[in-house]
Amino acid sequence: MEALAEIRGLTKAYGNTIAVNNLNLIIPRGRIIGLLGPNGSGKTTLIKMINGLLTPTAGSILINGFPPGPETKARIAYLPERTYLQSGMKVCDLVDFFQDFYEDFNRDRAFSMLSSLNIPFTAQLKTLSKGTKEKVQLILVMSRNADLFILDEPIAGVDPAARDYILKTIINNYNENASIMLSTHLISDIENILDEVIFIRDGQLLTHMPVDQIREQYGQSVDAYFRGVFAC
Amino acid sequence: MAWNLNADKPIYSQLVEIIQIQIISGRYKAGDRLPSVRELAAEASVNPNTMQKALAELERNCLIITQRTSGRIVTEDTELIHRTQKHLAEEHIQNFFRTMNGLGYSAEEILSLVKEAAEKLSNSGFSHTDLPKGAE
Amino acid sequence: MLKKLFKYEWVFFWKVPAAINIFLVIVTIIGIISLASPFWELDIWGIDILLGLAIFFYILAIAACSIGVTIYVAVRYYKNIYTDEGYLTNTLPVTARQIVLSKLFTSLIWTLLTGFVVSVSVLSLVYTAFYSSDLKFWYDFMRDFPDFLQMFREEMGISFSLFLMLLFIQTVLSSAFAILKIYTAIALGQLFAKHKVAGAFLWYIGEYVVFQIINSIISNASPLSGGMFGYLFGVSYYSYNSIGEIILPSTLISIFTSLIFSAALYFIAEHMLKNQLNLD
Repeated sequence: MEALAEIRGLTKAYGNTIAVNNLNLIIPRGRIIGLLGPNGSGKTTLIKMINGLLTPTAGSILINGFPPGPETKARIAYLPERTYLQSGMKVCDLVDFFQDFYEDFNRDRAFSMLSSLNIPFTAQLKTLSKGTKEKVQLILVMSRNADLFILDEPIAGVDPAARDYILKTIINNYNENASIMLSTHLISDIENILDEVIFIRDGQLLTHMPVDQIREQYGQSVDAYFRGVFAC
Repeated sequence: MAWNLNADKPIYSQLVEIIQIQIISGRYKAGDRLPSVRELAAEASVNPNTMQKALAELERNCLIITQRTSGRIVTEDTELIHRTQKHLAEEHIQNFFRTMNGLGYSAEEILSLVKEAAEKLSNSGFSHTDLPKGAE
Repeated sequence: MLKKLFKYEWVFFWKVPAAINIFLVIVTIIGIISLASPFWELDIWGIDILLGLAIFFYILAIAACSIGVTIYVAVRYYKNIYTDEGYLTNTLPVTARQIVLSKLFTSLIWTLLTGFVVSVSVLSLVYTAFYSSDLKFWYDFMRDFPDFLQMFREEMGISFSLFLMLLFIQTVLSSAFAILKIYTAIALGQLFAKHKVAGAFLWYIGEYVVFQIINSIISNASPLSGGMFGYLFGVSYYSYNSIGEIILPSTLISIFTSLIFSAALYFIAEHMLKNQLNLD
């Protein structure tokens, strides 16, 4: 089967600063992929370009053969690292909103996840805590049957129970035609659920290989390997 | 509760070992149906593909059999389960001997030390059902 | 998708302008009651100053309401597309055109509605102040209206209803033009690396100056000054023989230019969203 996403020569420059530099990447289907790199390495810039929120300076992105646009947005479920929901809405209105716009949205799944986290359906978003809002966003995103899930720092700053819930949700949502890409700088928390890792530094691709290969080849965890590579 | 995994060994080989222990210890008995890959992966908090790989390995060893109707079941060949148990025991003993050799003990010294230790344990009422449930 | 976007845009948008319009209606009702009361007839010192102040504050309120709706149009467009909310708006499976159009329609409807409420408010206050005691007003109005229509047609060359329709089209287009000036300024403000809101203000001032210049060129060339457009429409300052020969071409020119300008601005706003999006 064709690759889910193909990225070629992707570059993003802000004036003289280059955030992503001539990046080539192929994202296969049916994988859980960690996008790893220190803060400011270009992870979020890459993710935003895949989602069409940033215009590349050079290079191309193809998802299911389409450049970022309505066709790709219909197939990518994206969790940004910030709250994007309008605070005047109720939780159930949001479910309706997602149902209206995303054909792959599964309403029942959303409601069952909301009730398993004890989030009241009729609560207004502005009455919820920041952590709960983030959970609502995660639930909405994970209730889609998208081809590509892109989760930007989903576990940064959440409590261990929430982190376990997020990881369980990701595993439960897994299917062999879809890939999940999650960016983080907290590798040890998630490395057991990853198939493969993409290391980025200074906007350039450093490594892209399966987790077990790293462990076999270097005899250390991805986390330890990562620390070794970036300890300079 | 996620399974306890070592950081530096490949994950799938650790999963193979843990499931073997779960079968040997009787958590999954001969002929029992195993949970789905996804459920097992969620329980272990590991990647479903890795769990799939581990189960495939166990299938190759015939410890697990895939049936079209009822999914994956544990083999009913109790002889094979015993052999696996023995094999694992041998592996652990080998590792143990290697470590003890490193500490400067000869085979005879190790044996007498083990005997001593075993007597001490049985005096304090230790039985194999008190083994730590490391795999769960 | 356009329908769904429009539906949600309406749901998110209506509260603020509705509140502003309700405020306008309340101010108008208070004005009518106060004007209808004998209070202003009282012969006390300072009543003229008080009346002047009341009128001043009324005009202030009307101006504030119109500007308030315009500011809300700008804030909503900026916030929903170019801030955190833009992370959702711009990842919906819709085209840039659908996003801009859904916002333009909603803003246009509320701008027109507010304009309508303002007009009705002013007219009803004028009527209360000057004609409500004149019982013959409506009688005279009904009696003279057919003559007025007749006269209008003779003077202008077109029927009154057709003229009203042209006027309505002109109002819609010039409102759309005003909204698109804001949208485009916000979109172009994104070209600045920092201070994008300030950038939007700069662009808006720039647009204002440019269109002012273009407009003055056109009006210098219009029938009133006997220039090129007057020549095209076959009239000039020296030759026109009725007011209709000026008003009609001016209205048509205004419709035409608003249409051209709006289209140009629209394509800039859409292009910026489709091909030049760079969210912080």
